[in-house]
Amino acid sequence: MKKFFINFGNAVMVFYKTITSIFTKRIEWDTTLEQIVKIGNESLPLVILCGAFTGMVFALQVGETSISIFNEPIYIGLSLAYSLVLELGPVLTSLVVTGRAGAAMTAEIGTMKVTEQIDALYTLGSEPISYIFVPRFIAFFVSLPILVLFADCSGILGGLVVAKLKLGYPISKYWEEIRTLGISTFSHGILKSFVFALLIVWIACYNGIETKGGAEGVGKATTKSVVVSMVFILVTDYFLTSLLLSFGIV
Amino acid sequence: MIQLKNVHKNFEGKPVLRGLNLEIYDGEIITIIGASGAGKSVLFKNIVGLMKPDSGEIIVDGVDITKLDEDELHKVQTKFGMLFQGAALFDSLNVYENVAFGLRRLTNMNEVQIKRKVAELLEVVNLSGTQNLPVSALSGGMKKRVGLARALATSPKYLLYDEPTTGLDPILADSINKLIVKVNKQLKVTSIVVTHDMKSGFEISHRIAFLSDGVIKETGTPDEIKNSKLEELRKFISLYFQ
Ligand SMILES: Nc1ncnc2c1ncn2[C@@H]1O[C@H](COP(=O)(O)OP(=O)(O)O)[C@@H](O)[C@H]1O
Ligand SMILES: [Mg+2]
Repeated sequence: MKKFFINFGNAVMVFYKTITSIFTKRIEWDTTLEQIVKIGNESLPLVILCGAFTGMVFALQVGETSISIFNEPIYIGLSLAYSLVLELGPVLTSLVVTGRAGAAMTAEIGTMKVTEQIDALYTLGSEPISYIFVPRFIAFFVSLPILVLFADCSGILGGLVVAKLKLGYPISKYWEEIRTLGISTFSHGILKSFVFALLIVWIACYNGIETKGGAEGVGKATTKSVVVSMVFILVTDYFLTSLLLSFGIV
Repeated sequence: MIQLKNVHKNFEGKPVLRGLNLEIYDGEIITIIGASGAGKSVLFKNIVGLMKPDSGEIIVDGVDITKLDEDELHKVQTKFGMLFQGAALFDSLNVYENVAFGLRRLTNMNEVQIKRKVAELLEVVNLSGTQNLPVSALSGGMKKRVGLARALATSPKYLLYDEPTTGLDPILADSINKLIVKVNKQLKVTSIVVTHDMKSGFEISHRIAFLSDGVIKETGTPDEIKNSKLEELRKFISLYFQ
């Protein structure tokens, strides 16, 4: 328990230092850009795939349920759009990105730690906060919301395909329902993804830099990073949603 | 000059350094000898400020680095170059970017100057033309030499070599030893070496310090160390000279 609080305190310090460093020190833009490309490369195909199938299964479920109750499919586009944009898009994308880019990030930083590459930074005019953390924080902050938009779109398209081909739902009706989505609904999902982005990259970086004990330690740190990140995303999602709702961002 | 005064360092209750005292003079080559696990690497990391001792003073050019805040410490750290035991090259960068790393951050050189300097440094370590190789393509010996080029790049005042020749064949080891001497002579770099290669340690060093039980038990010129009356040290040396 004491260890948990020490860890948490250190993690908060690292977060604070990273954020101050973004505003007070020179930013390594090359590395930042590299990271954005890397996160995109690693996660975009997965995110699109998961988004599409989530949309598809959702359309199927809503369609079949409404058929069994009302004898016809109704509100497929509407229920799909809201669930995707508000919840499934940001949350599922964050979970997928945690497993892919987050895990890779912890493993990379952990390897740098146990092979003394982190130590080497200090005598070469750098240190982990500005060379490792800052670029990755910015990269995640920029990338995740974009990935979420991709997931939203592929989910809506996936849903459309199933609604039309499998349930004979009219395309025009589907689009009409989608168009009721307001800017506030979108911002709800995107705001959440900004917070999740910081959560994922923070946990990934911190677990990486705290890695101890060789290759085995890197494996452990990576698993820990993924598990902690997933739990935090789901728990934070509830409280964040309540907060946004209380501000009327629905 | 670097002065270590009564330095203690524990890891989870296990003492590694127990009141260590040592002075390192400007311009000398000093070799630290001691058994594996004696704490030589830990000593290095304390000197460079990568680890903070539990107590004691580490005075670099008159400044106790254990009392500095992060930014101040970071400035002092640029006086050091370190060749790590495992080379610690950045494996996401190629050879060129590894050697250029410190130049980009600690000097005002433009790309043309950096290019020239990197080529020069790679020539010094006998690795001309390897600029574009990824770190994964290098052998252990090549990694050490790139690590040395990277450490030399920013012209540090103090260079710490952690087992620079371990795992290298004798010819390569000899060339590294010659390099250490050359760097020390030509660039007046104070050199602190950890090695298990006793023979060359005695050849290249001005002074030798014996680390055991967390303290420096003996220091002296190679001749003084060879003729030391300390039983433990005599045993240690004879083991290596068999
Ligand atoms: N970061 C660390 N955490 C815990 N123990 C450490 C750490 N670094 C070194 N040690 C311990 O300190 C002792 C000395 O290690 P080291 O300085 O690497 O020895 P050597 O003289 O062979 O270089 C070893 O017992 C090692 O296990
Ligand atoms: Mg060592």
